[in-house]
Amino acid sequence: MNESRVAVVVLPDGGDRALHGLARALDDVTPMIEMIGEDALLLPMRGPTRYFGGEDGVARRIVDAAIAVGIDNVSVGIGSSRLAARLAADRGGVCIVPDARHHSFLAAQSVVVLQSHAHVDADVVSLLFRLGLGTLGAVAGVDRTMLADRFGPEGEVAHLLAAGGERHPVCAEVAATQCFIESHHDEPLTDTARVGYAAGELAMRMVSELAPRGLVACRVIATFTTEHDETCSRVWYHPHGFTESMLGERLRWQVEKWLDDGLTAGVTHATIDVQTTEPRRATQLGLWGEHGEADRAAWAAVTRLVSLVGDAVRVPEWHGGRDPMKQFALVPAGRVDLRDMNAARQRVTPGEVHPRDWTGDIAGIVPTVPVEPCREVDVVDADGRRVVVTGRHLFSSQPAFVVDGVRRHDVVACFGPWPVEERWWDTTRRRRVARMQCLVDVDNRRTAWLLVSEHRSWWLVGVHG
Amino acid sequence: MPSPASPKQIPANVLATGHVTSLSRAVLKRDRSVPVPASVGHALRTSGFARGLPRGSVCAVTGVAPVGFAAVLLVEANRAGSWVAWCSGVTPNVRALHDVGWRADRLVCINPQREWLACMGACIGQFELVVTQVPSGVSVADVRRMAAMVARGNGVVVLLVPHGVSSVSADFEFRVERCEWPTSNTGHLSTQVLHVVLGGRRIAEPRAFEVALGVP
Repeated sequence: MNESRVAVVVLPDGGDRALHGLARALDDVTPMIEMIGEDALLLPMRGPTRYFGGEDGVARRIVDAAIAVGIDNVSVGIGSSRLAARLAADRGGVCIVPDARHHSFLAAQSVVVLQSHAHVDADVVSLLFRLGLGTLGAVAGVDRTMLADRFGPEGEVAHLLAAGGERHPVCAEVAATQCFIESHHDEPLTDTARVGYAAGELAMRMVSELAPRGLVACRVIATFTTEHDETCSRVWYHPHGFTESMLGERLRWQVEKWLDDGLTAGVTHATIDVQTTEPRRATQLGLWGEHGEADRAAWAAVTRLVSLVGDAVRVPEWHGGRDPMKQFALVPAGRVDLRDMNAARQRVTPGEVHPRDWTGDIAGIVPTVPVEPCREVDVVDADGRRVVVTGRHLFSSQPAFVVDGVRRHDVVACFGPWPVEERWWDTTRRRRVARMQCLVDVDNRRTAWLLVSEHRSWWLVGVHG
Repeated sequence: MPSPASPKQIPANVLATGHVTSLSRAVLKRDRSVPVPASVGHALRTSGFARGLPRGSVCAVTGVAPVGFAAVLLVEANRAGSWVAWCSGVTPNVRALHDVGWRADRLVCINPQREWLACMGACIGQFELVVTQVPSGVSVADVRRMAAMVARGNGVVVLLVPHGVSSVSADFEFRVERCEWPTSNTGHLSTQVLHVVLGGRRIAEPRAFEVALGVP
């Protein structure tokens, strides 16, 4: 039997919970299951085909395991390379490409699959297509050295994959360790956040261990063990190698889903066993306008944060108006496309067609900390009478104190009032307010507040904190 | 006629792995620090940090106007393209940051609620700059663990410590002693001058300096 036969299992509807459940169920079919994407797993076929009576038997077993965990639309592709198996899985249901038909199956595929399914550089794929090499068969027909000369290592990889080869051979058993990182925790970690921290730290250590050697890890086995010897081990693979953030994110996912299953003790031991490495590639980062490593890391972090706290992750958006506390609103990060740099710049750029220095805007500096929700306070004069803003937009008397709940603060200086009439054309949303900046003594230190008078009441809306 | 000299052989010990330095470890000096405004930079320079805040450090901003000072401290780095995660229950007024010179498209505000530790774990190492306020329920050990993680990464974490709350041990501590409003006779508050003292674990001798927000 061909040693490189593999099965790729794809969940059409995705869902990280389902992927974790399926991976756990398939642990009974074979060890060394590789997590190759957000919706896909890879199983080496050498062992299970002998045990379960051929590839049909294994495929049936996978489908049964998926149904047992509540997934009834799983796709299984079996082929002689990762790419062939993945393309077979994309056909839906169970699709087995026999070893004898491996090359003809791949030859008929569009060259675009190298980009979408095998992480080959988009520029290389686009140029191959424009050169008339529209199928994998056509690419495989070109001399390998010619492609390597023209496109460098990426051209060589494209030829290798098109010809049915494998960038990194699939391993059905644990190979020799290239780098081993472990951490012991005397105090067992039970909290998801703390285990996530430990996972991120492991990834950081692994990258800094390999970087001086000019290597990146493409295939790692991450294992977490509890005080009661419960173990969760997963194989992670990425053809271009893992950066610190990529691996950290995957490890956190692994331990979080595992902890969600309910454990009897805390995590005491964590290891990363690097199985496959690759020379670190020289990457030319963009000079003007292109996305850099920092951008990608930030986007990955935002995705993770959204999964943690949802709409509490927010980004600024220019809304305009005359209220300095509301000119920029914070909108949920999950609802905007952070990757579109032009859209992001436009999102926060004050309008240029309509000037922003409208009457009623505060001319000086604005408070740095909004008071949310704004707090009702009382402004009184030296005789203890309430200060209001008259119809002529003047104070009824000189403000001397601001009463905030039970506390009374001396007013050192005050500026305003500045009247604002907002949305006067809208009878339901129209608003007449007057703003005042004042310097007050709070606990023997001078601080500045922004107060708003509306319906003869004063509200504290911002603090220069 | 003399025969041409044979090419020099590279000694075997030079070829040994130990003598090869990977270029990936070489980082330009200016990239090991986060740029800061001139007034803060001067105070750091006199303390031996010529190029700004070293990456992998924790800075505490304490005193009367921590948010205002944090806005000034990080403006140059943000303007240079660094992403900032503002992970705190107290969100800043983005208009104030914009007026100072921030690029708001590189700001992400997170209200961590009860997930502060997890949110910080997700931010550290991913964002170059993280501004946060330690919630009351978090243990000192967790804060130390966070600081250790920052030290291994290449970002800078700014801890906002509100007035009256005891400070935490940090590499750099910026204590805003008092604020002045020098142009308050112009009809509105146009400038805020912060009197700051720089201290902390990595500063041998405290240095005082001033920074101004708004129109000077």
